Amino acid sequence: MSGSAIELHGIVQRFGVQTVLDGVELNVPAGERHALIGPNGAGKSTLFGVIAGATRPTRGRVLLHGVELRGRGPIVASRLGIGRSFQQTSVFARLSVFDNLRCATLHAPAERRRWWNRLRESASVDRVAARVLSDIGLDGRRDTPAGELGYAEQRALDLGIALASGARTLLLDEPTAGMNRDQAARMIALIRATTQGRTVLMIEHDMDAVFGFAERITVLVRGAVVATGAPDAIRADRAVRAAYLGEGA
Amino acid sequence: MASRARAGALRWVLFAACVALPAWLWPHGAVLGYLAQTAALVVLALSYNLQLGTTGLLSFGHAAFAGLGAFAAAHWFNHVGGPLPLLPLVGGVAGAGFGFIAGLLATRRAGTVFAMITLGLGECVAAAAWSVPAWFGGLGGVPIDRASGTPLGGWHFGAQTQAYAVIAAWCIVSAVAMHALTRTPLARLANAVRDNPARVAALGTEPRRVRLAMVTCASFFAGIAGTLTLIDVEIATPDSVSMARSATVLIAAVIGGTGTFFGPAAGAVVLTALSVVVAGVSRAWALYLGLLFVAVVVAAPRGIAGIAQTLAHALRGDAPPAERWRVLCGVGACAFWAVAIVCAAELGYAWRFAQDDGTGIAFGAWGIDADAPAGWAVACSAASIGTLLWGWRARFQSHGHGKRGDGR
Repeated sequence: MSGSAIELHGIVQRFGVQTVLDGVELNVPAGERHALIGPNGAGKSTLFGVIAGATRPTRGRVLLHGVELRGRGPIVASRLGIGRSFQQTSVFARLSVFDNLRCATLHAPAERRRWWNRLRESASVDRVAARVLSDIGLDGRRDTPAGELGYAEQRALDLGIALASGARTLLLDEPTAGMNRDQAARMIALIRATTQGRTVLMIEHDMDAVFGFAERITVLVRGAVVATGAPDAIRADRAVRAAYLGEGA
Repeated sequence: MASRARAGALRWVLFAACVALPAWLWPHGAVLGYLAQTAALVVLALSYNLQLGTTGLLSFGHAAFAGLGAFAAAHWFNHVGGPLPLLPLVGGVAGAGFGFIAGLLATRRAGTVFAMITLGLGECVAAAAWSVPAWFGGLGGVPIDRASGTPLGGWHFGAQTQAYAVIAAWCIVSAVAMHALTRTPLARLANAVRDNPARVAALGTEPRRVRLAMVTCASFFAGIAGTLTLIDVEIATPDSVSMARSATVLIAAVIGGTGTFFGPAAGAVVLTALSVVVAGVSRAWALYLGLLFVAVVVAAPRGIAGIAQTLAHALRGDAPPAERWRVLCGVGACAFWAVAIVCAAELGYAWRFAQDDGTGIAFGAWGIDADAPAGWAVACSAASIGTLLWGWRARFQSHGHGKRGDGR
């Protein structure tokens, strides 16, 4: 893989008079594990919405794997290789765990064009779904409705749906939110193991997790990028400490 | 796995037997008419559930597609002809066409928006049925002579038994086809759209296209159902596109339970029984239907199918006794309350109409006088026994694990 997975140029997002994103520049090379941190209300989730095509930016350009999105929405973004897990756990509650993954696998680049997959079960879809199922460690919960899973399991399934969709670039919005230290560590290990060879852009509040996981970190404060760099450089950066780490994290 | 397959096969045998056996045992006009009405509503309710249960789309205008399919089939039969057994295909294709057009307008959003648009479209079709008499035949509707089609193997389909054979066969074939449809990945994707459309969009499928596909399929089977009614009564009337018909199928699906495949079929059977059999002996049938509907929505949202599942779960060998007693008390309480309500309603109606009819007699066979205290005593004691049972049921609640406990 080469080139940039995500390129943002001068992203401005206004809701009414409020400016949430103010000229964001971001470049995530393909294959990088990149973390996005920042205090509450910095605009991190809004930025994710912009990258995934869910919200159209007021100004600025979004390039996904070299193709400009031009506000064409989430479906085009996913075709360009963007997969997403949500801040609020987002699974198909009344479908079984395995069926959740089968629905996602239908959208993998290898399966997407096979329209007959919609009418007939496909062995290759089932195979991919089963592999993701064991990757995320939910083998024992195969036939459980997703709505009956525990919280950590649902987060794992949420990640699994993004993985099964075959996305090259994953946007993970606070995958460890609401977890205790043990669960969070396991989740990060799971993400590290399952996203080999893919690009990951992750919003995270758990600083230990971020500094152990990411190759580069971008700090967003009040809608603007304050610093981008390797974890050690970010830890040492005076502006970041003032704006964020010093605030009690 | 093998036992599950056997249970599935058993269900279909049972379904086919319910459609065919009564007609074979009692091949009289009234029975066949009643069965044909049931079969058509079963197909309509199952097709409705492709939208409500599978895709999560609440429609208030589903009968419009059944009725439009029936009118198209009637015109086709009168002008083009062809063998009668293939006529439902014409109705189905017409229904699917109208469903597709309506779906283009309605499927952008689910929930209230979809419901309101279908309500509006349903009203439009119902209004058109009266204002475009050239196509809808005005007050008289569009009649057909079902014996006038191309005969098949010596059958002219004029006789009611032959017509019912066509209807029964189409009922079973449609049910099998719809069941197969609900087993496809497309239907699973429709489930996913029902549960979380934003997530489906993030995966790369337009939720709207899935909804549109399912609405079109549902309208196809609705058109078939409408044509089955047409074959039965030999006339397509403006009533068949009315909002009342749309409400009927909604009520049937909800009473039966939208969570399982056969639930709406059970609801259709109950509803036809109420509106034909009970309506024949009691003036209060609409009241019973309304009370049943409210009771199901409030106390058993999974419908008849959910009640059956809860019962089966409680009565299997290894169920904890507390759960079993809890369910049995619940069923008993409901039975006694039903007796109380029926007694009170019948006596009340008799008492009310005594001034018009001159007789204050309820329950024709027993001839109970509404002014005498006997009937009211029965109603009161049934109500109190029901309440007593319900109280007992609550005592088992703490022991049972109340997860499956929406069986009333």
